[in-house]
Amino acid sequence: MCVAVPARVVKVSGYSATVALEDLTWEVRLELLPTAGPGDMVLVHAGFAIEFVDEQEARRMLDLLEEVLGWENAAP
Amino acid sequence: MGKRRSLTLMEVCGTHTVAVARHGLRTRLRPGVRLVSGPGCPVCVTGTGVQRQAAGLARSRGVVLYTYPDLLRRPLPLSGTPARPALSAWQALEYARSCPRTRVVFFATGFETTAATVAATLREARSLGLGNFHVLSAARTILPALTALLSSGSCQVDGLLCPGHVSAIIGSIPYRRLERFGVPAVVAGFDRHQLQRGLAVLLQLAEQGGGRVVNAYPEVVRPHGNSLAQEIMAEVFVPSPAYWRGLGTIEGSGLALGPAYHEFDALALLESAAGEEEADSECRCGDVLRGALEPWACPRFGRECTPARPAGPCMVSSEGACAALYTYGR
Repeated sequence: MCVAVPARVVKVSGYSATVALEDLTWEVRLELLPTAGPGDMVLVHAGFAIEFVDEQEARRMLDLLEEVLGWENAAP
Repeated sequence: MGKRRSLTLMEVCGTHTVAVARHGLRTRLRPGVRLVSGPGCPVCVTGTGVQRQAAGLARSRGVVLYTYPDLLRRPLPLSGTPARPALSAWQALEYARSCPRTRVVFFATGFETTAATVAATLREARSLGLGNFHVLSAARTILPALTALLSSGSCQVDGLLCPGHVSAIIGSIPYRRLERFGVPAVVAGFDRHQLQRGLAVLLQLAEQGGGRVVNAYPEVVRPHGNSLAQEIMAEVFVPSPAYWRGLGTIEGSGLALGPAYHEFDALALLESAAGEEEADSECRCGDVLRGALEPWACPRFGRECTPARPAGPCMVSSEGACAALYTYGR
């Protein structure tokens, strides 16, 4: 039920936004993430954008953690 | 601490339950490591009492009740009622706006991710003065349930795989409250790579022992979460006792509508309070939700209880541990 999907904001009008994922576009609400603007990647759940998806920053943090903890070697 | 000792890891998120099963990640754990599902499937943990209340409202004249589609499946109380499916509380609000003479009730279940969207919808209803929109809240918060589970000692848990999208709202910091139990907690994402990464970190921490919180889903989860969403939830909801299948009633684990939202509370539309929760006579979903019973060890699993003919909620919901294991195998 907590499934959320990433999508890119295409257009914003007040607290309503059009988002796109590949060929699909739909309307979402921005009350929980009002600073989202066109071009931003956001995570969408139950009709609302709930958080930004920060691809670059995440990659940097993970690279650092992997270097420090050697996680890549700890396969489950 | 011996590195090869047997360990039990628990995930507490319906989406993780499905993803772990679909990617066959259990088979990739080293011998001696078990991964069990905990109380993370919203439909599974929601008590029958509040679902019966929702069913009563759905059958009332002049009321249209919306809820998430999983709650409408057989043999749950809302199946066979005129309740309608909605993927978002906002859909119910829009219907209420378009039909001002109809009482529209949204039956809300789920954890913080979903509760935040319900709170934002209620705030809009209040600013619109939408007198015909109501919410029956069975929304809940994950930390009191995890605290109750770890305090009870009713099952062995050596590490918690924490839900990524709940954590997008609450952040990774609140899990530090679990450190006193000496159990590590790792926030993980949902694709194969993210889950493998989360499990690898969790296993490493569990082998070391000791309580520690690691955010292995930084693509989305910030340490403090979405603070605006938290503020909106705090404005709309107040903590309340809530019943969890398998765990019983846990103080402060529910989200009831606060005083400023009283007029939107569907509880006011009910003629009677929720009945006592009855223990399921034969269904062992409660044990599954505590991690005390593996789904395939239930005598009904795959025989009298399948996704096509489910006997209990963990097989009804597509996010239930029983349904996921039946569909994708161990």
